[in-house]
Amino acid sequence: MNKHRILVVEDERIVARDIAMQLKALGYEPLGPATTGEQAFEMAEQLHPHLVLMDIHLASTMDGIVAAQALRTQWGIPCVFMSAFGNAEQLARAKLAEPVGYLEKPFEEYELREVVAAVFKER
Amino acid sequence: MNELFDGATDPMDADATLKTPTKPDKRPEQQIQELASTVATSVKTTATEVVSSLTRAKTDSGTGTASAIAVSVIAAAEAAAVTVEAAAAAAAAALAVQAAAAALIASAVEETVASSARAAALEAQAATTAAAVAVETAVRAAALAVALAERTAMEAARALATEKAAAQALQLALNDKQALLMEVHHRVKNNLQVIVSLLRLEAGRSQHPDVHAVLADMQGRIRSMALLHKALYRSGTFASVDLGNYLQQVTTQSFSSQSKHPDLVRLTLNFGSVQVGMDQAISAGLLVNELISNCLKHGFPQQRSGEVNVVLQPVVTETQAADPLWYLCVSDTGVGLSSDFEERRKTSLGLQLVHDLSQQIGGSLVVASKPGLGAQFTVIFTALAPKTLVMPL
Repeated sequence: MNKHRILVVEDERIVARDIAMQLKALGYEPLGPATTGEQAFEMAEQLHPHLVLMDIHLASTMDGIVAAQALRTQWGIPCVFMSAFGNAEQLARAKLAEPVGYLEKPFEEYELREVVAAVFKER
Repeated sequence: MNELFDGATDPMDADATLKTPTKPDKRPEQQIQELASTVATSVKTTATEVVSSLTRAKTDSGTGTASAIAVSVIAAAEAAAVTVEAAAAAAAAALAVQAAAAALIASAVEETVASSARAAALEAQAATTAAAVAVETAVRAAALAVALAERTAMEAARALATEKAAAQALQLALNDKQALLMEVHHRVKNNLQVIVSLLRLEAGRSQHPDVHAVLADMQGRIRSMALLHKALYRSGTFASVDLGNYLQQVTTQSFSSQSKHPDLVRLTLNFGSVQVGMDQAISAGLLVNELISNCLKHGFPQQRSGEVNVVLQPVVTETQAADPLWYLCVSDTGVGLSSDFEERRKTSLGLQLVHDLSQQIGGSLVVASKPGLGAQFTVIFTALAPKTLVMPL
C-alpha cells in the first residue's frame, strides 16, 4: 500500500522534526522539511506530495499563504495551514488559498491525526 | 313786541353780529351793546310816537274810556322800551361773558394742546433717543456676538484639531501596543510549541512507559498555558480573560488528549462566566489540568465507565460581596480515592501541584470521596477583578 506523502513546510527545525515523527507514527510518509516558500515550491515540483502542512509565517519572501496558493494553482496540491495565531486580516488572506485544514500551535497529536485523516477521507 | 323787531337783526344772534365785517376792529360785545342801544332808541321812539298818537286820540275823542286806554298803552309802551333796553344790555353782557369764557377756553385749550404737544415732543424725542440708543446697543451687541462666535468657533476648531491629533497619536500608540502584545503572544505560543515538540521527541526516544507518562503530563501543563495565551489573544484585551471560557477549553483539550477510553468515560461541563486576571487564570488552568489528569489516571481502572464533571459557578450567599466567591469543582463517578491517598498526596507531584495551585488562586481545597462512588475536589476562591496591564516604557 502506497503511503500518503506529506510535505512539511516549517522554518522551526525542532517543530518540523516533531511533526515528521508524529506523521510517521500515524503511518504517513513525511517529506522535507522545507523552510521557505520557494523551497516548498521546488520540493513539491520534485516530490509531488499528496498534502502539504504549511506554516503561515515563514522567514522568506514567499510566505506560507502565497506558497500554498502557488502549489494549489500549479499542481492542485492541498494545504493545511499551521500558525501560532491568526488575526482577521491574515485569516481573510488564508481563505483565498482555500486550505483544507487549520492547526493552531501548539497542537496535540490527536488534532494532527484528525485533521490529516479528514483530508484523506474526503479524497 | 315781536312786531317791533320784524326785519331787524336778531340781537341774540351773536355770531351773526360778530361776523359783521364792517367794523372788524370792534369787540363783539361792544357791537351788541351799540346795536341794543339802537334798537332801544328805536323802540322808545316808536313808543313815543305811539304815545303822541294816543294822546292826540285821547284829546280828540274826549271820552274817559278811550283816554284811560291810551294812558295804559302809553305806559306799557314806555315800560316795553325800558325792558328792551335792559334786555339788550343783559344780552350784551352775556355775550361778553361768553366771549371771555370762549377766549379763556381757547386759551386754556391752546395752552393744554401746546403743553401736550411739548410733552409729546419731549416724549417722542426721548423715545427716539432711547430707540437710537437701543438700536446702537443692539448693533454693538450683535457685532460683539458675531466676533465672539467667530472667536469661539476658531478656538473650538483649534481645540478639535488638537484633540484629533492627540487622538490619532493615542490610536497609533495603542495600535503599536496591540501589535507588540500580539507579537509577544505569537512568540510565546511558538516557543511553547517548540517545548511541546522537544518533550514529544524525547518521549519518542524512550521505551519506558513511566517516561512517556511524565512527558505527557508535562505536555498537558504546557498546553493549558498555551490555551491561556490563545484565549487572551482572541479576547483582544490581554489583561483579563473569561475564566469559564478558558477552563472549558483546558478541560476539553485535557480530557481529549488523556482519555484512553472516550467511549466509556463522558465529560460534562457547567461553567459560569467571570473575568479574572492572567495570574489567577493560568493557575486555575493548571489546577483543572491536574485534576482531570488525576481522574482519568486513577478513577476508571479496568475499563470502568462513568463521568467526569467540571463545574465553575458562583457561591450563593446572602450578602453580596464586592469580589464574589466562586467554586471550582472537578468530580468523577469512578472508584473513589484509594486508601493510601493521603500518603500518595505527599509524594505525588500532581497532587502537590493541586494543593499549591489552589492556594495560588486564593482558595482552599476540599477533597471528598466515597469508595466505589467517586471523588470530588472543590476549591472555593474569590474571583479577582483583572488589573490594568501596564507596559513598562
